[in-house]
Amino acid sequence: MTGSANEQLPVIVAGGGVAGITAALDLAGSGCCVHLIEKDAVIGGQTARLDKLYPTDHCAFCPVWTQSRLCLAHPLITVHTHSCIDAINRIQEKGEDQGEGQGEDRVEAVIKRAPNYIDARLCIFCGRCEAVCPKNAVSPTLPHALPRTFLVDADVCTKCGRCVEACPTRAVDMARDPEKTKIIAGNIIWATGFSDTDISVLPELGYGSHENIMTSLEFETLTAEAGPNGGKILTPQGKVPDRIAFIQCAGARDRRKFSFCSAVCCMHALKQARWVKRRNPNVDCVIFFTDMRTQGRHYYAYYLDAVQNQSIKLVRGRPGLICPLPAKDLIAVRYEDTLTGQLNTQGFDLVVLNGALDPGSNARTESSFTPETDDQGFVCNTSDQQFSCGFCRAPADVEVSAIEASSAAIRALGTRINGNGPN
Amino acid sequence: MICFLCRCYGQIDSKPIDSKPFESGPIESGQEEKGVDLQQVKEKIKHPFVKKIQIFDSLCLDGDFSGMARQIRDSGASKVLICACAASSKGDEIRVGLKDQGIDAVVEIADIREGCAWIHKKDLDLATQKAGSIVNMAVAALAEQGVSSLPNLKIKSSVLVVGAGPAGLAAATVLAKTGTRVHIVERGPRAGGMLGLLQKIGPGNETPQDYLAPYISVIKDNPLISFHLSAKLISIEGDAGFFTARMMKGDEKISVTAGAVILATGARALLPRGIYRYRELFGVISAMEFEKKLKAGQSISGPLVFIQCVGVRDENRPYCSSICCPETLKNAIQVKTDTPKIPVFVLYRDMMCPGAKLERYYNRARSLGVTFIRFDSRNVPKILGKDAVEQVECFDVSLGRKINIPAKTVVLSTGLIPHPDTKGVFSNVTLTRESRNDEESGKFFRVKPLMNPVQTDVPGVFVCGSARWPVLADQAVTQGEAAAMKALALLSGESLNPQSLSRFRESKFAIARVDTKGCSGCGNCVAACPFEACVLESVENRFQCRVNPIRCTGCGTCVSVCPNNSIQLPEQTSRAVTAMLLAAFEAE
Repeated sequence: MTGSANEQLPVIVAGGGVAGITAALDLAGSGCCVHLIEKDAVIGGQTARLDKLYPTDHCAFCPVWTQSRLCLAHPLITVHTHSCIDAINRIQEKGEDQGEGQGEDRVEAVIKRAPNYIDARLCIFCGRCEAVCPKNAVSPTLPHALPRTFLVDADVCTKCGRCVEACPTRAVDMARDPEKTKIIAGNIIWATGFSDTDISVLPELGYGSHENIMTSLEFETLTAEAGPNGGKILTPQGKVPDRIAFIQCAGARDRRKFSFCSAVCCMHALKQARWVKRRNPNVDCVIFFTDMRTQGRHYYAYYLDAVQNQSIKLVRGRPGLICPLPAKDLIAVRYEDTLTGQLNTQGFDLVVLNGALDPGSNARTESSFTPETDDQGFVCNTSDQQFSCGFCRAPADVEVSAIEASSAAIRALGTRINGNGPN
Repeated sequence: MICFLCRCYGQIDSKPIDSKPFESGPIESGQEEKGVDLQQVKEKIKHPFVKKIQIFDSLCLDGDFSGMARQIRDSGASKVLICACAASSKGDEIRVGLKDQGIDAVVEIADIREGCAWIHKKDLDLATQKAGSIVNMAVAALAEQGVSSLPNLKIKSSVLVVGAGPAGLAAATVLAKTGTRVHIVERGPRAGGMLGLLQKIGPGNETPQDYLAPYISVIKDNPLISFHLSAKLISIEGDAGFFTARMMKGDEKISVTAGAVILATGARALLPRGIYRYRELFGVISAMEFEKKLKAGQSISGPLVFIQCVGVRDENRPYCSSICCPETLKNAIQVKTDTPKIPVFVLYRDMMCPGAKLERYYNRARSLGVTFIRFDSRNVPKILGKDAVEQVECFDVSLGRKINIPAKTVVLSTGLIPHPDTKGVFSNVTLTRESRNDEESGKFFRVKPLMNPVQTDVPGVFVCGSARWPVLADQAVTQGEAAAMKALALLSGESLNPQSLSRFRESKFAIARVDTKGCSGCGNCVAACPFEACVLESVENRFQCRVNPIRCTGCGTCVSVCPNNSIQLPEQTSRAVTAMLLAAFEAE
């Protein structure tokens, strides 16, 4: 190929979700070194937390897990877990060898690795640390995410040292300090995704007033096949629910929280309602929507199937009040059905709030360095060295994230040879 | 064959480990853990093929595989069985580690930890017996197992892009930037595809010329791009790594070769024949005609009514065409900014403007005074008038009553349909029957869902832009680049390289092999293969099956339908499976 010096430089991919993994694998597949930075102990991102994916209704586990495995085993990809980007310095070198005027831009990134007590590389997932911990501070990582290891909750841990003694492989070490590494890279791809956000600022949604009012990601965990109830549809009280309400645009398309449309939630709610119906057809599922935005590949057919064949009820309207009824685990939802004009109040066993997904929070809070974001919190493509993809760029689901990640990857590759001409 | 048994630091074999006894571990609490007696398992392995059996404290720790590699090399074994944890735990690491040590032997992993020692913690005898069976089955299978091989391929380092719309142009330019040779074939006389029909491209509100300029300039200047305008593609043949495309440019026949093909053939706007009195009343026009009017600077006679979801989201075409709502927003905003006096109504079912930019666009239209009225699919609007449009009668679901909107122009916002001309070109060997697009049934090119959504069923053929599913220009560009990335990764050879074949089990690991003596040419496998990898060939006046090694995914469907047992997956031959079963029952 070309003799460009930048071609030898690695690419930093910030975020190990679907977008990050895809970008890393694409880059590595074309022979480029990649450093994948992930703030959690595992890669897979939010998708690893999901139980099923639309529009196939297949387990999220399968595609994500396979790609994660490839990522961890790939010789050109270095995965940094528990890490974040601490600082980015642009190094502009005058082209010494080539003498071609501009020279090449490089980026020096400082990667900060948080002190994690258990080294995933040594951990054989035997579970002795969890068994001996007197404070229950040790817990396994997400069942669907890799690498499989245990996490120590530093807030609960008393550093009694029992797990250190119990570990047969000396993977546990209480005395680890934060490490900082410097990586000189050619490009940075931001794929920091989104996170759940606190929507108790919207009082009418009643979030936080009762445990049966939950966000859709909490509901996903509750009903997951690998979750606490083994895929059974139960309320947090262990009761079989009669009725579940899915509230769309909760905290999204709303000037008080996020004015954008999160794009994934309509399909996400349909998927969850379908899953509930599949596990227990007697549960009534009602989706309160503003517009059913099912505009992707095969999404409308998925929606039609849910409405026509699975008797999922759709109500157009935004509930004006959601509040728990006293002394009962029942949540009252007051709403106007804008298609009939009727004002109704109905009791639900579970209320799932869907919509408020914060794109900037991962980039904002987890590292002392923040990429440039627009007024809505999305990471912009700041320069020809930095690219963004996935939800942190614009609301995106798995398919769109995967596409954007590939696009960001080839743009990053394109900057390396651009201007020098082909060989 | 050499066989390694791993104690996994007492996870499989619960005996304390000399180097690190764990007195303070869970044994302290009195519930003694039991494990597999690996010594017994070792004695149970009696297969003559096994030259050496070794028990290790741990195989994966410290990432040091040099000791293991030395032993494999010393024994000269061509097959290695590792009895340890599941492949997903540390098995991958061991496999890759050995590969990095330069071991070419077939490495197989038998799980005796998760699936055996852990779930039978309370019963030592059962666990040992099961571990013995597992190991013996794996030994028997491995002894019979062959290795799939791909012929060493010559991969053409160029890409063929079909269609010069935004997706195709983006794919070609970005590929050229990475130093890849690109051929673009465009049927029409100019680049730009459907964008050329538009007046502005929202939400950026650029003209098509401005929008396409950066791509056009690269295409003109970059010597790596050959641009074939007004060229009619006749056929594409071949497989990933070496496609041959033939086309006609005027009377000239052109033939190009490429390692990968990117289909960016776009879609076509539906002509709303017979819907909403189109072409029957003066003033009822399709969205494309409206674009043409705006482009020509013709005055719009108001009031103006847009009707959404025309010809789509119905029984015939049960899909949402994604682009029509943003297009209507763009045109409504345009009209409102140019002539604010004209009342503009949008009759919609659901406003499809997901994401941040489009939602903002929707809000902008509303703030400019565009009236949005929701209707129901069971109660569609009616256009009233004798010769020209006078009124639109609509049941406003929000008001719960019928309203009459005075109108002079009604724009039918029609969806996109699969391009009718793309059917024939790929009807030879390139695309499987299932994945072709088809106008009549409203089927767009089929791609793999979720993680690799530009990949068709056929390796080396990628689809992007509206040929894949109706998309806006920005998304088409992103998809074009994504397809380019996948094509580039393919050209670099990792996925087609025989050496990398067995690196990961997830990637392609078996290719069906035909025993030409046994094959009767019945064609069962040809009918059964979902990837159209089996073809019948005429050899010495009789038919014989040939397996296309690139298309074959190793699914084994052909094996199950072959009446003569003459097509096999080398990694899982019938002999290997039989040997495995025998070993399983022998143990009892």
